[in-house]
Amino acid sequence: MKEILKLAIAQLRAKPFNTSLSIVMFTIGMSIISILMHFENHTQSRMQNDIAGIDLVVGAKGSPLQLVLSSVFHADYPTGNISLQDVDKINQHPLVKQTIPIALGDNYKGYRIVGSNSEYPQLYEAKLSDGQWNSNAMEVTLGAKVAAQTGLKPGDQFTGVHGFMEVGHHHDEDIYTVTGIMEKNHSIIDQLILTKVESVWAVHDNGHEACTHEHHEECDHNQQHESNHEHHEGCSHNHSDEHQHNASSSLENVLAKVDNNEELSAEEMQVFNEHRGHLSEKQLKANEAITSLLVFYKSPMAATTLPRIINQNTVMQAASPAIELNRLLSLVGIGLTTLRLLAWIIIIFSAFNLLIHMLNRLNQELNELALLRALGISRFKSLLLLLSHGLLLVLSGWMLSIVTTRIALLALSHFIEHIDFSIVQPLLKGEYYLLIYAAAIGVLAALIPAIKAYKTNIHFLLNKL
Amino acid sequence: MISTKDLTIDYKRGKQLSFQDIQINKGEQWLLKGNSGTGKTTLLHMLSGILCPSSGTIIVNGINFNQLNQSKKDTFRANTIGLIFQKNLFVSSLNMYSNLVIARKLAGQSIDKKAILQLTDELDISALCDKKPFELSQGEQQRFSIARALINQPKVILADEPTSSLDDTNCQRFIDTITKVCKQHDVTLLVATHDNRFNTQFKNTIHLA
Repeated sequence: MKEILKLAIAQLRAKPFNTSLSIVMFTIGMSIISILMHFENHTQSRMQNDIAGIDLVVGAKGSPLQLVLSSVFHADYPTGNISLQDVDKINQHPLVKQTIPIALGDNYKGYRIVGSNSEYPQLYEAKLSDGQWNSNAMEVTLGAKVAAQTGLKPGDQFTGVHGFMEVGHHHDEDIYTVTGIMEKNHSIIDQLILTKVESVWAVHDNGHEACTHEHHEECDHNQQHESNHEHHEGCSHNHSDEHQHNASSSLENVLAKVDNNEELSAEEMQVFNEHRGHLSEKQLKANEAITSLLVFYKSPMAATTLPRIINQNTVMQAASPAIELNRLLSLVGIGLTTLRLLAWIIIIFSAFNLLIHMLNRLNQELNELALLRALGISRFKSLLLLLSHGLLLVLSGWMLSIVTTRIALLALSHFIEHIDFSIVQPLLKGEYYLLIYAAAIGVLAALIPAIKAYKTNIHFLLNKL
Repeated sequence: MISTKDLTIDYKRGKQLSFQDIQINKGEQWLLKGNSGTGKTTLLHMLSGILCPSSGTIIVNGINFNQLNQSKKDTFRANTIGLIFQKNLFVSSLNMYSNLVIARKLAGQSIDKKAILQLTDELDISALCDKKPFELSQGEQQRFSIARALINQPKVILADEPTSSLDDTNCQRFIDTITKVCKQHDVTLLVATHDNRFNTQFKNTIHLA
């Protein structure tokens, strides 16, 4: 058997161009499928990982997908804010085991500053690689990727940018201090800057919280024209006493308008509503709101009742990350299926190519096969020789595709954010299936020439030479 | 060593060839002569077990071919018979040494390097063992054919038109070499040819008509 393999390798190596062309064709098709499988697998497991067992996300009403994207995957703008009073109601619900608050608003160089508590990093089992966890307001702990990309170290200071784009309004007065850096966690937390909820409140003190995302554009606008619109509500970032003065003076105007049954602008309406809210919530401070609340159920039974209760009876909405993720993946899935189909077409074609290659080879080497048969090599062994030709080609193609895939994935994670593949990827189940497929193609590609060779009369062949 | 009785073979278009009975003793050297189409190659292939006769018996080295199946015939051929072909056939991707031993290796038999070196020395081709087939001349290739036929220490060597592509010098050299080597190794030799250059060296001739 060893000798047959040796001979097969020698024969393949004698025609390096033909051989490598066949292998490369086969490798390309297999690699594309393999990369797709890894990509899909990575995305799904990464997203499952990011969900980290969060049963429900509660936030302001709007799109549930948006809520999940913004609060769990940190990919979209938040839907709005929810008040701490409402949050308390959920906290006290008997079906709720644990909740983690999320307060969004700012970013630094595109990385989101997330206000939460110490349970949030625990959720992802994040560990520190340097420094200490943030314990006071305006202290932050950096995700591994953030630290690597920005070069910030414990003790460094920076100011956030309002909103979620790199460029925007700077909160120059509010300086964050880095206290620690987390280890690479291979989850969303790598790309986050963690701080206390209080920090977000401090930066967006008072009514500013209202201008998270919907008013984002307006905020920029306000910033540019601040001198013209001194009394503009909400988005200016003056000292709080002055701010309150501004707010109350405009409130007086609004209240006067309401008394006179005059029409109110949207902003004035907001001021009025806020004022009413202040009254009804017993002077609960407007800044004490968060973006969303991550909820963990006490029992699976909660899944049927809690979302319904929240969606129907409160001003908030509840979204299940698992359901929203499935919805999202089923949308993305159409594209993946098309790509996969394409890759299969490629490897089916490369299989044909392999078949043609084997037949061509056989026609050239049939006399060598006849020679070996004449020298006393059995039919079975000459069959094995052809089989090992085919199998050697496809197996080296498969192995090459495994290597190519890993290199390609490494390159991909360099260029695409949110994706990080390490060089050592375990073999996926699908890749084992590919191996079986490859072996089947190898046997099939060898079979037709083998049958042809088996039937060939050596006497006839030797006579023809 | 070789004996046949009432050999016939049927061709496709209803044609039938019948052969005279042959009796060759151990160590003898015979010519098989006849015009094209008289069945020289066919007879050699039947004697080596490549081809099955339609009727009659072949006994080589005391073994009756009628009692062997195809795979046993293959093994028998590998162990007992050395073949030299009309054209020089080698595995082009292997060097000459590997070409000499490939059949033994594929059959899972051991290789006696000393004996092989001695053989190639006798044939004056030891220096060419690292070369690939296409790097050799016809004469050199033909000497390797002899070496390959002898490698398994066969009892019989069957040669099919071995000199048809050789010039006079190489032809004479081939005839001298093969007769000498076969005598040395006590191998029975049957050469199918229409080459008259053999006539002087061979006492026994079978004429096919």
